Amino acid sequence: MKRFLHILTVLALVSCTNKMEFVMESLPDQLLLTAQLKSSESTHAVYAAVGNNHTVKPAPELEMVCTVGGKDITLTREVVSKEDGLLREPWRKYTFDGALAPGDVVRISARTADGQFSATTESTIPPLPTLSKVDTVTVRTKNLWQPKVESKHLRFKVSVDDPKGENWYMLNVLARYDITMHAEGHPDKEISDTRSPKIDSGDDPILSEGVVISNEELFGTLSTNAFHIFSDTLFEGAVGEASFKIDYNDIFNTQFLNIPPAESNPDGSTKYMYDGLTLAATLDVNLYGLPLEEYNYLKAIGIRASGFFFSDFMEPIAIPDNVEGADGFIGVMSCEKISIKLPIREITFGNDDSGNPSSDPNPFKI
Amino acid sequence: MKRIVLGIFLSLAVFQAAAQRRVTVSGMVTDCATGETLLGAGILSGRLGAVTNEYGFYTLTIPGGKTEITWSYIGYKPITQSLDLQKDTTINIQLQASETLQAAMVSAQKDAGIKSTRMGVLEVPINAIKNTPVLFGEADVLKVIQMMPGVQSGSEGFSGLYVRGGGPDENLLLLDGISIYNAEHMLGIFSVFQSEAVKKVTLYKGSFPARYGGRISSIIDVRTNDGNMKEYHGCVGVSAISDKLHIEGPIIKDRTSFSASARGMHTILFDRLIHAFGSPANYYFYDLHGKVTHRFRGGKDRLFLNFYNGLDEFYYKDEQADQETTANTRLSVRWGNLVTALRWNHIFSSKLFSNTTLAYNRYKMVMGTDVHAKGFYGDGTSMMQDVTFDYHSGMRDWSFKTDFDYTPVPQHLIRFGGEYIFHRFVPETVALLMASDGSGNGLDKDYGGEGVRHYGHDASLFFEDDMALGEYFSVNPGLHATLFATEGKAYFSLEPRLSLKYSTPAGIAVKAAYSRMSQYVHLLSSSQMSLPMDLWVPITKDIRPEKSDQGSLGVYFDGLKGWEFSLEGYFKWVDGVLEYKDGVNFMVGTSNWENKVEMGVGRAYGLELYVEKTTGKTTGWLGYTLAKSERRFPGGSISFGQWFPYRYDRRHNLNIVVNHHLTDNIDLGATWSFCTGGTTTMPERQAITADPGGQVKQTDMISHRNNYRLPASHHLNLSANFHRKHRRGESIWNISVYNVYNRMNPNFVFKNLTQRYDPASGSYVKQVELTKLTILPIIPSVGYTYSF
Repeated sequence: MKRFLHILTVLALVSCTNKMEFVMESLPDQLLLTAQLKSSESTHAVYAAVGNNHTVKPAPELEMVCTVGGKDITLTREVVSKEDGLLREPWRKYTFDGALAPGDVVRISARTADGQFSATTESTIPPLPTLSKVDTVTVRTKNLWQPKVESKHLRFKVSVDDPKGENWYMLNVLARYDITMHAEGHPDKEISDTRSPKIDSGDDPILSEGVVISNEELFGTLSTNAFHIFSDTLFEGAVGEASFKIDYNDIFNTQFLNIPPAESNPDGSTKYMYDGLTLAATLDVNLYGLPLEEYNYLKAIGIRASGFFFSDFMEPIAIPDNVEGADGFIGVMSCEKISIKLPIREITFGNDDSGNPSSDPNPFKI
Repeated sequence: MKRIVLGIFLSLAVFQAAAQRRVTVSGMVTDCATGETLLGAGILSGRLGAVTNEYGFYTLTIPGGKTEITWSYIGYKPITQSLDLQKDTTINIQLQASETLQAAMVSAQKDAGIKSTRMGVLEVPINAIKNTPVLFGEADVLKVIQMMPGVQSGSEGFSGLYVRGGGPDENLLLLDGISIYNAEHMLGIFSVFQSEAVKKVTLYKGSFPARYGGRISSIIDVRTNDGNMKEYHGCVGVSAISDKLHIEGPIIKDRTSFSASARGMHTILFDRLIHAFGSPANYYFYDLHGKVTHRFRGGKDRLFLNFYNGLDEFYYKDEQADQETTANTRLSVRWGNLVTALRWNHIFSSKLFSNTTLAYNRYKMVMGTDVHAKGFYGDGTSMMQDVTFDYHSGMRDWSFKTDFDYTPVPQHLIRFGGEYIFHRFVPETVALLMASDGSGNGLDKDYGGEGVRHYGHDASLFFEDDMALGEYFSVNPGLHATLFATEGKAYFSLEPRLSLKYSTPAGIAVKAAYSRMSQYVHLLSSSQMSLPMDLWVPITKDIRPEKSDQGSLGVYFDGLKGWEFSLEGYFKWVDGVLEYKDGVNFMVGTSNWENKVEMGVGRAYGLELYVEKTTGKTTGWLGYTLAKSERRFPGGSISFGQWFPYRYDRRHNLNIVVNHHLTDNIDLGATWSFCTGGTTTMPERQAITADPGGQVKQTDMISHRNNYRLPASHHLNLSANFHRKHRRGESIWNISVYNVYNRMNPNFVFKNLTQRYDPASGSYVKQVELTKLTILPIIPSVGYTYSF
């Protein structure tokens, strides 16, 4: 809108548009490091690259060491595959195994053999948050733009015991699936999968950090808080209660499953598809404790990641940097979770008279 | 012997009593040709002096007996009278305008400039407003104020004011004592003040009088003409952009007068013609200003009725049609002010004067879209959809104010009074109405319509005393107290004010001042640019008032005839500034504007040099400012709580203004302005980020807001006014050139992401380019004004 008005103002006046001498000093290449280290994981990844004003390039070989509790662990560079999505990206992945406990001081150092690049960073794993309770209920909702369409959601209410002082948190949900595939005349096949269903939290004052959006809002309920981070400033007492909902379609949509054929022809083409499955879903509600720096970092990249950031109409976003000798951010967080098992579902795909699967592999009814 | 001695003592006592008997002379100083009151005129008797107040009233207490009094005003012939005063006397003086520009007689007191106890106060010369070359030859009050030290425009050529590191909402613009919220037309290229209607303009940058409150950076007090009490006069004018008309005259001679001004862009007159040529869009603005003044018999009472209405509108109409569908679209944006006020001046006695004002003030911005679409499909079905979208923002003030001037003795000018304002704010209202033909192919929905309203009760009292302590030392202490109540919460603020001056016979003066100010409204503006869609928002129970503490020190010299020199330094600390948080959408939003902003602190400091030549054929000034302004938001939502340059931080600002009276018929003017570039936010380098889900991305790295300094801007303007007298009036041709050497200063700056081939890496890399939009290159213009 503003750019439109700018142009219209120009039409009314004599005007010129030309490029400015944009004298941004050419900066030398700088080592870039980034990572998100969680106490709930046993394998941790640090990504490295080299960048300047304009571009990011692959980093040269680095000696990377992580020191935890006085013990040094050498990171190994991982050969990436297509599944990692890193094949064509310019950053390198280094990993190390080890438990990270709340209170651990984690120091990461990286350097090239010739000493051209050298960087260190140090962070402390925050205390474990206390996720005291998770309640769920099924609700039906409508939205402004599709008033005749009713959606079914699983609504969560999460209770957090908040210690004294200022505290910062992140919330997410991980769905774990144990799936048994069925096909007449064929043995059952069992597969497992995980995914993160989309959390709709725009109508909660804590998860939207006070910017509550109702279902009747003009521009929908999707929040820019992509990582569902929040602070305890909006808690009314020693216990904070946050709520959100997840669409049933998002939990039980089997289209995400990479279902192999039940039987293949010698040339590899599908001979027969599975025609049903038994789906056992478990939802892990994860509450992460964050230091303030991590909270600021996730807030910054989360707005950009939400899909609602348009630089012409929004304030610029600064990104924190906690690596000495390089650019980047190494984030740390501790994790507590509560798991919720959902009722087992039987889903039938159906095959046509020729025995071929129906064109819609997700005709489940809720 | 005893009798002789007793007789001598008695005689001495009688003489002493006679010598100490004081009388008060008071009255009005007016222009003898028009009856217009003269504000700030000087009255001098011996070493005692006074000035007329904002309404032309003066009072001076002097020893009784034979004395000589001189009344003077710049541009007028002084009058000196020898009097034998035995009691309080009312003397109304009518001064005659002089063709020769000469300095006013020295007065012991003045409201602005070196003689004043105050510092950081400048009176803008009316001649300078009319003769200083500005854009399109349009004389503009705010453009001239921008050339004063300590004041800058936000962008080249625009009339926004940023005073001593403060934002545009921190200036109190008063039109005859009533505040104007948005004093700009055409995105700030013109101000709402028409020079024909202006009588006096005073700028306060620091050392604020206690009678003013509500803003923390500056007060711009604009007083308008009352209207000619004796004859009808006026002017019509045409410039490159606008047409104007001004008429004033008596309704009842020497009793009631009126003054009316109108100005509008040419496009408002040729709207139909513009559409006839096929243009779907048009933009225009207009100002209407009126005033009626009535003097009651007895000379003790005056009544004034003020009216101002101004509007800017941009609209766009489009009609599209093909075989199956038709669509009509109209988009409009309009904003403007409406001010009405009733004022009453009363003279209680020779020492006590009062002014009482009742006023209504409204500012509104409306953005709307209407779309009507109709479609006919091949299968015989049809669709009809109407969509109406409106976005409103605005405020209304109802106010009552009364203030008193009391001069018990010449050494004390005491002012006191109070004000009550009822505010109603509607920061944002969004309404959407959709209607279809019921065929099922469209949407029917009625949404919104009632925005959140904020109400505020704003009550204040003030007291100040301008004291002369001896021949060389003067002090002005004052106190302004405000109580602001909103949403069940009350904010109380005590604002002390103090100004000190020590002057020497050699023409050197040293001044010091301290002011505390409070502000109860904010203008939310993005860090990228300011537009009429910016929101005026009040304080609430969660958003507290903005407060500032400003200290200043200065040295002044006027020992060289016709010249004035000053060097002032200041430091200002501000608490409670508001800005949008990082990543916030500052366009259309929800009712939760309070959650989009963060409160922080600011600091600004600088040095201002001002050199003015006030007499002779060539007059003008040089103003240089060296300054810095920063902000910090400890909450962490903006640049992680670090200090960063304020958006309008400008290190150097230099303005040179020269006006030359070449002949009786030709006036020449020249200005040259230089300003360090403004700030913008640019990506500093590329970085990678990892999110909690393991996604790694390349991203632009920004360490803090306003991290990039744009190039400096400068330009030269020239103008000439050719006067010609006719039997019934005078015509003036104005020829001016703005930006003579066509300096391409940036008015708007856009970032573009492009790609270029990098031979070193053998791949295409992202590159940020800056594109500047210069809407003010060399602009010659011609204007014509006929005064009758």
